Parts: sequence; C-alpha cells; structure tokens
Amino acid sequence: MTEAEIKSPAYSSSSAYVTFSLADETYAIDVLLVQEVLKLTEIAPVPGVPNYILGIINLRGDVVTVIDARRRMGLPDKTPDDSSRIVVIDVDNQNVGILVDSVAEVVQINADDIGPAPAVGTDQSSRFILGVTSRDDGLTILISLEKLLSDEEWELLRSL
Amino acid sequence: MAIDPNDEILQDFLVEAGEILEALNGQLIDLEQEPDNRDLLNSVFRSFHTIKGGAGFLSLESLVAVCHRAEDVFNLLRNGERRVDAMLMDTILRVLDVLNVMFGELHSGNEPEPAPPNLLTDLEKFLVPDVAEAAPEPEPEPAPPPPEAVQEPPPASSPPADGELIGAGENISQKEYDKLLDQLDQDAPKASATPPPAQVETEEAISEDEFEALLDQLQGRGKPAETKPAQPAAPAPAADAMPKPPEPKPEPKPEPAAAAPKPAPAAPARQQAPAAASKAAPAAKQQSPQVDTSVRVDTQRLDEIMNLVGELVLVRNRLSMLRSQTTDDEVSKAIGSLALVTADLQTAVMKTRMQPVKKVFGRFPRVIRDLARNLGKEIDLETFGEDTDLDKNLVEALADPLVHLVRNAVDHGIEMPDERVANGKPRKGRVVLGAAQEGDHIALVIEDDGKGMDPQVLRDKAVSKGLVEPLLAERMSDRDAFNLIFMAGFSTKEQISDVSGRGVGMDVVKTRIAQLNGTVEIDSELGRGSRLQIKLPLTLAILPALMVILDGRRFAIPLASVSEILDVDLTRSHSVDDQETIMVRNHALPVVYVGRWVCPQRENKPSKEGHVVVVHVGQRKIGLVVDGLVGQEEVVIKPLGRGLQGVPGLAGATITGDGGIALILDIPELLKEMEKNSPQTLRRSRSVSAPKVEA
Repeated sequence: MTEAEIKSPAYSSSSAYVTFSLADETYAIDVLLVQEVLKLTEIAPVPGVPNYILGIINLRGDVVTVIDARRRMGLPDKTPDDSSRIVVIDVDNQNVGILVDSVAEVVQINADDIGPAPAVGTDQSSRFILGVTSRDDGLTILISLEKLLSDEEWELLRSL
Repeated sequence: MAIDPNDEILQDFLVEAGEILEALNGQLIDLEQEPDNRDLLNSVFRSFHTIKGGAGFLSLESLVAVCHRAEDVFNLLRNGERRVDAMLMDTILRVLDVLNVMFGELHSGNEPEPAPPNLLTDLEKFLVPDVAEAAPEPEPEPAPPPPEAVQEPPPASSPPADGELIGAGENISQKEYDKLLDQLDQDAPKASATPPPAQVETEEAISEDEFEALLDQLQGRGKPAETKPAQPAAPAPAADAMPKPPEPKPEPKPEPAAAAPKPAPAAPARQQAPAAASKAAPAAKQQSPQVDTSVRVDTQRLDEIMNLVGELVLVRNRLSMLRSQTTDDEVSKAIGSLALVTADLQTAVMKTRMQPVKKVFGRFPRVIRDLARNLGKEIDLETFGEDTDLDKNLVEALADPLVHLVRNAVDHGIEMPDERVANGKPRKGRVVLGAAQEGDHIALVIEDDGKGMDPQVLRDKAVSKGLVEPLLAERMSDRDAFNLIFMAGFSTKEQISDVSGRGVGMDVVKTRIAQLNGTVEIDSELGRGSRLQIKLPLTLAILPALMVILDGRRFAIPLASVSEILDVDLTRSHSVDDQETIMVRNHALPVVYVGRWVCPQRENKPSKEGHVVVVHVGQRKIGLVVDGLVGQEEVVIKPLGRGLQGVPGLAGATITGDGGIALILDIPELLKEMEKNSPQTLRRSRSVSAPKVEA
C-alpha cells in the first residue's frame, strides 16, 4: 500500500490510465475520468478570466471550458500544433477540456508500482501529483485532474 | 413517522393538494364578496374535504385535524346555519396559511407540526350555528340529516388529535359517508321527498351493478355508510366498529379508486331518474374529461425537450446559412420547410412550458385583502388578461416583484377612505393588475387610482438622501424623477411599516426584472394615480439578440437592452471629464469601447466611422462601440461551463449558425465591470448619463 493509494481510494478501483505528454514529460490520468479526446478545435476565448482558461468550445451543442494544462501546472507556453489534443474529463458531472501536447495511449499500471510523489517541483504543480511510476520508457507522473479542478480550487482562483 | 418525499402517493397528494390550496385562496376571497354563494361554499367544503381525505389516508394527523374542523365549519356555512363574517374569514385564511406551511414541510420531507391549538379552538368556536333554524330554502328534506352529522364530528374529531389511527379510520368512513350524502343532496332532489333509507334503496335499485362495484371497492366499508343515512347518529358507533388501527394502510388502492368511480354511479343515477339508462356510459365519460386530456410531465423533461429543440434551431440556423450557398432548388425548398416546421415546433414546445398568469395573479386578492384590512383602506382589485400565457420560469420569477409592486400601490398609492372622499374620489380605491401579450413580449400593468407621485418630492428626497446631485435633480424630467424610486436606498415613506418603506425593494424589483430581460416603465399623475408597466420576453430559453463583432469574434447583445444602432464619426467625439462622449440628436451619449474589454492590449481609438450600439441600462443610455454588426438572431442560451459561471459581463454562450461559439453579453454587469477596471474613464458615466438632458 502506498501513500498515494490511501489518499485516493479511486485509485485502486481502476488501474487503467490515459497517458499524455506535457513539456516532454509523460503524465497519466485515470481512464474512467476521461470522456473523450478531441483534436484541437476552435477555442473561443472568454474575456476576464484567469489566463490558464483558454476559453470555451462547442462540444456537440454543449459549451465546455478548456484549460491549458501547461499554464495550469506552471510550465512554459507552447504553440498548439497538430498533435495537440483536448482531453475532455468529467468533473462532478460537468465536462472540462484540458489542452495537452499530445495523448499517447491507455496503459495498465499496477497500484504496487506507484511510488509517492517526490517532494520536488513548484508548489503549483506538485499539488496535483498523486505519485510516480517507472515504466520501460521512463517516468510517468500520475496526476489527479479532479483535484486540480476541485471546487475549492475554483473558489480560490475566483477570489484571486 | 418519517416521511419519504419520494413516495409516489405522497407526491400525487402534494401536487393535488397544492392545486386545491391555490384554488382555495381565490375561492375564499370570492366568498367574502358573495357570502351566500352556495356553489362556492360547497366547493370550498369539498376542497377541505379532499385534502382531509388524502391527509387521513397518509396518516398526516396534524393536517387532518385542521382540515376536519375547517370542513365542519363550511358544512355549517353551506347548510345556511352560519353566515360568513370577517372574523370567520380571518380564521379560515389563517387555516390556509397554516396548511401552506404544513405542505411546505411535507415537501421537504418533514412531518408537519400540529396546527397551533388556538387556531383549532378558534375554529371550533365557529362550529355553533348562529342562525337559529337550518335554512330551509331549496331542499328541506336533506337538510335534517347533514346537520346532525355535522354536529356529530366535533366530539368525534377530538380522537384524531389524540388517538391517531382510530381517527384515520373514522375519517375515511366519514369521508365516504359525506360523499354519499353529497350525492344524495345533489343528485336526488326528487327522492328527497322520501325518507333517507328509502333513498338509499331507490338508488341501489336503479344502478345496482354500479353500487355493488362501489361497495366492493370500499371493501365492505360501504355497508356502514349505506346504513348511516338511516340513522344519522351512527358516526361514533361506526368509528367503534372499525377500530383496527392498521386498516387504512394495507389498502392504499381502494381509497383513491373508490373516490374516482364515485362520480360514475352518481351520474347514472342522475341520468336514470329521467329514465335514460343507455346514457349511463357517456355520462360517466363526461365526468372525467380532465383525466383524459392532460398529462403531468416533470418540468425537467420539458427542459430537456426545450434543449433539444434549441439544438434543432441551431441546426436550422446553420442550414439556412448554407442555403444561400446552394443553387439546388430542391434542397433549398426542403431547408425552407424545415425552417418552418422548426419554428412551429419551437412555439409548440414553448407553449408546453407556458402557464397562465393567473397563477401569479391568483394570490393578489388575498394580498390586497390582508393589506387593506391591515391599513384600514378600502380597495377593489381588478384583473384582466389572467389567461395570458407565460413561461413557467417567468411566472415563478415574477411572483415576488409583483407582490412588491402591488403592496407599494396599496401602501403608497391608495389613500385612506376619508381622504379619498375629501378629494372627490370614490371611497374605495382601485388597483388594476393586468397582463397582455404584445408580439413576442408580455406586458404587465399595475395601476392604482391613488394619490400618484409628485416628481418634485421625489427629486428633493433623492437630493436630501444624497443619491443625486441637486443640479442634476433639477434638470431631470418628470419621468426620470419617477424612476428615482428604483434607486437603492430610496424611500419616500417617513414611517417604516411592515408593509413597505425600507427603501429596499424597488431596486430589487428592477434588478429582478432586468435579469429576466425585462423592463419597467413608470408613469404617474399627481392626484390621479400611478401606472407601472413591465415588459418581459415570452420565454427565457431563447433570446433575440443582436450579433456584433468585437475583435474578430461574435458576441450577442440581448435585444431587450438595445435601443438603437448608430453609425457615427468617432473622431468627432468629445471628452467630457475623461469620458468619451458623442452628440446624438443634441444629447450627450457616453460611449464605451467594448473591444478594450475583450482584448485589453488593443488600440482603442478607431479613427474612422464606427458602429455604436446604444444600450439602456436602467435609465442610463450608453453607446457601445463595436467593430461590426451581423444582425438579429434568435440565440439559445447555454450556460457557461465550469469555472466560467459568474464571470462578470457574460450571460452565457450560444452556438452560432456556423457551429462557432458566441458569448452573450450581460450588459449591466459588463458596464459595471468595465467601470471597475478603468475608474477614470467610466466612473463619471453615471453622473453624466443619469439625466437625459432635454433638448
């Protein structure tokens, strides 16, 4: 039992993760949270919101907020290209899109292989990290997007 | 006993009782006007009776206790043994309030508190006939049995309060008994010459089959009921005969079922008296037309349909755009008819959500009555256009503002009776509440023939409260002065009463109506009265909007707040106290570069011709400089996604005809936001624009 697992019971329920990349690192999120993955479409910017909120998109008639994962996690900006994807995840029954550099695959990760998050990185990004796991092609960082988008988080941001 | 709010039977009861209570409200007020209207008395009696029956069935003892007494009182009334007076009405209206509170508790899943004991004792005081003899007018014969039955309940009704379930058992049989009595009263005027037992027999002989069926449904309980007319003193023994406490619960079905088929046997009985047996079936049908023609639908489901239709409208818009690019006649025609059908469907679905304004208006007779009594004024309420349909959400949202406006009309508007007479007016004040549909808008009118408003007093008041600069107040037109009452913190009443005068409210009313994309206009003539007109869109879901271009993107401005569109030479603008201003027909109009908000980095002075959309926010008129105009479009409002709700200046988003997204601007909020962000440029706009300088 790792610390991460105790903290997040949702973990043990699923061991499948979607991996995506951001600034040359591989990240993984729980597959059950992912609704769909979209190619980059036109994002309508919304005035007067924090800069990491890119805007809104039309997802078959639903208006979905899109967040720039790089900005959210304090990584340097990068112009979106062909491999950029919007990962639509379900947070408290509302869809939110997250712009990432690219989406790779769905992988199985054994709970035992997940190690605690190293106490490095900036405050901003480490808050979303659940743990890390080592796979053949390097380190994969497990992040909790639902945590990243929790209500307190929104509240906090709104009050800024 | 815990109450499961999801229980279907309870839900049905709540819905039904809710409607009855609403109707009761109006009926009781009518009753005060015509205290001898037997139809009304009967219908009020039946209303209490129905609620009692349902409540008894669900073992809601506190409800039963109140309804039972109210029912008894009305039984006396309808039998002419008492007359309606103001005291009695006050008590009955209190009963209604208590019932409403109880139902409120039920809705939230709590067992209702018992009614205040003094209310029950007050009610019991009315249980003594004040007319010496039972009114012997229309049906002398049926009169004797009911009075006795009526006098019986008071002692019998104490058990419901103490011994719970016995009370319920008694109550059900009592209900059946009363129903039978009702039918006898109404349906067998001829038979009334014969003694009651014979009555029962004749009816049984006439429609034996139906009666048997009815008896079966009552599961034997009909028997005592049947014998009761013979010995009207039987209720107490009957209650003893059925003291099995669990009884009412195991048979939930027979009760409503029994209630439903009842009209049927009654109808044949009526029909067969003139010997027309073959008409029995049609007669039974006539009894229940509503059951067949209406369906209760969850509003959530209606919302879903509305959403889907919204989607369809968007697709239609998109196809209509593509239509201009195609040369194929057939395709073009098909798109044309699709557009028509979609428009019809949209209206049809919208209509399903429509409710008559009556739903809101219905509460006003009561409001006015209570206020008038409270303030010692005499007031008649006139209503018109109660059948005007309005979106359900609007109906609900309107209730509070309207109550407020009507209270104001009564409290501030209508004078005391003596004062009115002294001014040569009729003693009774008049408040008119009306609704009418005007194109795609609804206009609501609240009018009184009271003392009206003095614009000068309003000006002085506003100045003395520091709300307006003295110079500005002087230059204000009368109409603008009237609008001062919508300012926060404005109240002309010296004395704060519990009715009005706290100076909050009118601004809240205004805000609420603005939120519904509506407008309020006010007009008044000193000494003659005031008139308020509220204009509202028919529905909230689809919004007519002006599409504009800002920074290369589309934005929707709700058409309700748009006054006009101007093409002006922006290089000729003036800077008044740091506020860009242009002259329009000799009026100074402050202008705002909205593009700056959309894209803060951008250069804000277009040198050439610019489009200015003139919007009105409250009494201010402000010109919004936009980069381009697209045209009018019906947009479907979509809430903004997570994290974006409550972003100032945005009311939502919509999908445009080409599948893109356009943000819908919330003009008042947007201006507030821009004001906040650039204090130098906009702060002054309020003081500059408040008075429209008369040319």
